[in-house]
Amino acid sequence: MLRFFGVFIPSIGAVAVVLLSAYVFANRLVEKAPEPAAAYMSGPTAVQQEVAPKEVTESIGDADVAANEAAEPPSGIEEATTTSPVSERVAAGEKAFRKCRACHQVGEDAKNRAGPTLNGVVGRVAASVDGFNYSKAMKAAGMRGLIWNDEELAGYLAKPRVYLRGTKMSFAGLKSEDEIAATIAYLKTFSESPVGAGDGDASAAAPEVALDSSVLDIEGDPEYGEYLSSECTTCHQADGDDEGIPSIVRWAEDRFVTVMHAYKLGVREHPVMNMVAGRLGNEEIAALAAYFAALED
Amino acid sequence: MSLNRRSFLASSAGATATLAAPAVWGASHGRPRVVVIGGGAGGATAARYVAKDSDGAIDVALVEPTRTYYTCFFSNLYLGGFKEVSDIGHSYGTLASAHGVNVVHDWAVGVDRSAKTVTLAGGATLDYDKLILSPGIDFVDGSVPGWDVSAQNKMPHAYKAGSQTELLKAQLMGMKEGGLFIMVAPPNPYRCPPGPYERVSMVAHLLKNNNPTAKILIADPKEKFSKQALFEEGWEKHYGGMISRLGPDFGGGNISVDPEAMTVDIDGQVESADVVNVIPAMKAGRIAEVAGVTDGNWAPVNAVDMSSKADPDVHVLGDASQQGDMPKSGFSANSQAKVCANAVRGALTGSRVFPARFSNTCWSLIASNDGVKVGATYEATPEKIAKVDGFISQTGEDAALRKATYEESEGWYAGIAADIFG
Repeated sequence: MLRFFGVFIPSIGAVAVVLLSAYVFANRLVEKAPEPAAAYMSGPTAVQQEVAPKEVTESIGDADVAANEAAEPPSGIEEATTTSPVSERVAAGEKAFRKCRACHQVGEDAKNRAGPTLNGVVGRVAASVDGFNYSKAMKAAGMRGLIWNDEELAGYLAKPRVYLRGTKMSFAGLKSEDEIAATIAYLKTFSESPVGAGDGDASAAAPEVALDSSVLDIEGDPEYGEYLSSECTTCHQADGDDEGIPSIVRWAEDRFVTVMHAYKLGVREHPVMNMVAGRLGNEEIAALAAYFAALED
Repeated sequence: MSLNRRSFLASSAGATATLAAPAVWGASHGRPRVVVIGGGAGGATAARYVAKDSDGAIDVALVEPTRTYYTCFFSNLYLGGFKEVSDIGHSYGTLASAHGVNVVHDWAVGVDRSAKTVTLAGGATLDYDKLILSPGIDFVDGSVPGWDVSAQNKMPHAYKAGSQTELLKAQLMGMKEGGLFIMVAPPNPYRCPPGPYERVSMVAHLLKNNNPTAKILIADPKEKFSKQALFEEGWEKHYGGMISRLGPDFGGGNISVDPEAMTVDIDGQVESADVVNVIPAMKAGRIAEVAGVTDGNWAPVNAVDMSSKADPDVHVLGDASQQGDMPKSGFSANSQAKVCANAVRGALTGSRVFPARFSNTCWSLIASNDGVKVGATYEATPEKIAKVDGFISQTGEDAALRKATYEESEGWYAGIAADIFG
């Protein structure tokens, strides 16, 4: 018995020690030696050059890198090429982002620290950066299809722990709407394209199957959905707990329908899901989407 | 657990019935009554779904002798050292408190189908409008000559989880260095087709770590077995040289045992063993036979609602039923229970009845982070539950996929446990 468990106990201890040291190290690193913003900049910062007059690029400190690259500006700030308010906003956002830098990095060499890298965050699905250990709540948000668009980011940045209960981000929130808008504008400069294409696994965000509106518009029968759901709840827990199998409760109905059709058509691959979705008709998928979307805690 | 209005009403309704009628079941009220015999993956799921979905409109009694139910699924992982025995134990408290199920810890010993009553070993009688039998398996007397229930401490079956599983593990842990473990595998059909072979994998994992020169011999009456290519590949990879199997062509089907001498006679050749796991041939749990709904070893059912072919007011779920193509598994029983619950509720309260649909997936663990699975969907036809579509893990899959499959099985366990016991 001892010989057997002896294999495991030290390794669990070792993992804990490593994790703890990594955590402490990461925090000390950012507190003591915040790298200059310039070190983070390149690639996507081409946007800076397009949209930002002199003072912005100076404040970022690497105009040459930015100037040598050309890229389409992200949609939403196109007007920046002719007006200055947006560039001012980006500059203000960079300043505001100092509050975030203790935990989050952006730019070419950005790595996951206490928080995930935020390159490409605008437009990507929540919890999609590889290698970052997200909270259960954030993972669940990603699974149900939360995409970090302006509106969602604004809500989250105002009061993270209220907006997404269970998040590991121990930050009280940005105070003013201006500060929030500025931070999002700044983060957009690290997002190569506005929607769906981040460094992380953005495939989860892309519309995987183009469904006809006649399929998306089917009004699901929740009572039928409740019956059908019993096939799902053998594995997916009805209370939203996920322990090795994702939660499927309280997803947006369109997303639920799209994902199920992606499994049905084999665009998403998973043998159990391909099999289960494969014999669900459009009405049945709509019924399930309606039922799970409305499921209470 | 917090009380909400619904659970409060459910428990007070139960209390009222008990006050009005001192018998276990109050016959004076007007609500329809469902009695479920057997609190495993089939019975507990059926009780929970009928009670939950009828929201108090149906009185549900669940008869189950044990206070803590140990799932057979994942009991092999306990043998392998991946789970504690407490991880596979479940109580019935939530069924009673959250869903208002009247959980009766007693043995059902008689069924009178004309009077529609169930008699309990403790002497009480329960009236029913619909009876759901989910008694699992019992063993066929004499299927392994020399072995009977009195020998199960010498040669455990460990095929009903709990004390037998703990006994087998203790014997394996105490096995002498370089000792021999023999498994007598069962003939078809039996509970959990990959079960004996997952067990061999888990025993090998245990022995590899604490008794690496020990050997494992399987005496098997079957030509082939579930996930055979996957298991044999894994055994070669992880436990090369430790495991041997004698199929029927090598006498694996001609077995007798001597529990006192700790020997196994394989087609005339007597082997001395240190630990012997006898998994006899199986049949429906005895109460199905007592109720008169069996034909041979099993209870034939109609696929559309799992009702007995002998009696439309009796339903038989899970291992005990003879339904067609589904394997005898906890997942299957759970799936059948939901179809049955929907039909029973419809018959008793007029609620909507939806078409039957069944599914099953069986995960098996071969070694640490080396999980495989097989699954299928099924539909009801007039003749039987018929397979629609299926899949199976492939040989040669990479380690990451096998690890993901194992982690998925852990998620499934948490899911199905919540689905069965609330």
